[in-house]
Amino acid sequence: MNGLGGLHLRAQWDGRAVSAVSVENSRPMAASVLAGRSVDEAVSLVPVMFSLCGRAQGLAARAACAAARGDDLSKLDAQEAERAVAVETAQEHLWRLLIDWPALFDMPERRSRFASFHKRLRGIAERPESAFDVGGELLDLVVLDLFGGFFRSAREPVTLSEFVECARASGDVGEVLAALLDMGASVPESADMALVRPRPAADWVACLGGLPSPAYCRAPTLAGVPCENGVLARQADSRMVSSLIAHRHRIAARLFARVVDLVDCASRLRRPLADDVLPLVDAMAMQDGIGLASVESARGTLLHVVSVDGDTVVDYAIVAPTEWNFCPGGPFEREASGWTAPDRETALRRLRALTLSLDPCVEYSLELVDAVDDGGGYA
Amino acid sequence: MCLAIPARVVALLDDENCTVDLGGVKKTVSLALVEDVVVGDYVIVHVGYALSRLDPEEAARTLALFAEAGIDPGSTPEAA
Repeated sequence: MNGLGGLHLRAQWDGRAVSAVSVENSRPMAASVLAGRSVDEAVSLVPVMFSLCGRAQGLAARAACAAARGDDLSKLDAQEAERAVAVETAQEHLWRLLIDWPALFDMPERRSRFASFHKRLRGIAERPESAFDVGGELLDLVVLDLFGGFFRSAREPVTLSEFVECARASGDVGEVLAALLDMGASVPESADMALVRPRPAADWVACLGGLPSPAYCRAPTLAGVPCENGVLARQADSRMVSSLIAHRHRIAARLFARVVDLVDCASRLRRPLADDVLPLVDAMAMQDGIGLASVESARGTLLHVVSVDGDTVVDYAIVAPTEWNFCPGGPFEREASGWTAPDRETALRRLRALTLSLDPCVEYSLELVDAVDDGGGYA
Repeated sequence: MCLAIPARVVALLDDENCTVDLGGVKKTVSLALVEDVVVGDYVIVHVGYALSRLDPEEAARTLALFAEAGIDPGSTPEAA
């Protein structure tokens, strides 16, 4: 694909339905370059290695290394970490909601609004006291602009037709949601998928049992079962998200979950580390010399596991959300085929919507190829 | 987990855009998300936007790290 690797997504169109799909993931396992370096060097390198979720990656590295060395984790500034991840996640969600989703449906991109919020959020690092106000502006954006219609209704929509009606009366994101629902159920009957729900680092320590292998990092599972990782998994308890899942509109559910997650970021900026929610960053020693950190990043649960010997990194593993979602048997593969579309263009748009809803953190290419029979027509 | 390859700013353009050099390949990107960028700065680019600005020492360290890992900036998607 290119020197950095990435995802190559290939689907087959038989003139009526997408009949087969394949995923090639060729991106390098960048964590390997950290082995042999000093712990301090590794911690300083990680945030600059990644263009996306750099803060989440950096905090995961710092927390995992601290846990591996047996440092007192309470000395890490939990409030600052929570705020940094919430800021980064909000920036990513706004990119999807104000730029990428409208563009997919030929609606105007809101670049200046996005840039304005991006800068306001970035400024929180220098002026932490502004976090409360910026969080309030994000809530206003959702309630008054992106999704106004849902909050002007006398009651939440229950049926799918009520959902569409409500979405149409909303802002830009509501229009996109209505368009997704109009495309028909997005998930084949057999495509139910287990979810990577947010959990404390201690649970991950128990799940993984030790430093994960490169093969696990490439295709992670829970107890051998492929799972979905991301905003839908994180916000599946939201009543409207679960309603959309029940109606087999999983792409729309992910879009709605992203808005709910944006509201969650705003709440965390206003009141970080509330008692009734899990923190966004958690870490724990796995065994002597091995530490694990879990971070609820923009794209889902991000895991760093590091093995150290004194001040030297012996081995390093990163399990990123994209590998969960695009591995064999994962949500992309399960949802990308097995449904019909009125024409090729609609099929391609649905595949693009599916990919965008899963929000891969690497460049990707998407190819829809015609299945041909021996006579040169569709198979 | 997109790798952050630094791109050098070689020209400032109208409408908050600039030209960057990424491993010898020139590309126009938006500067709407970063401030105070001047020619010679390094920026991290993602799908047409400069996401952050780096000082030259930090950029050199990152480029050396990726070179050590056998990653060629000239063949990045941003350069395509």
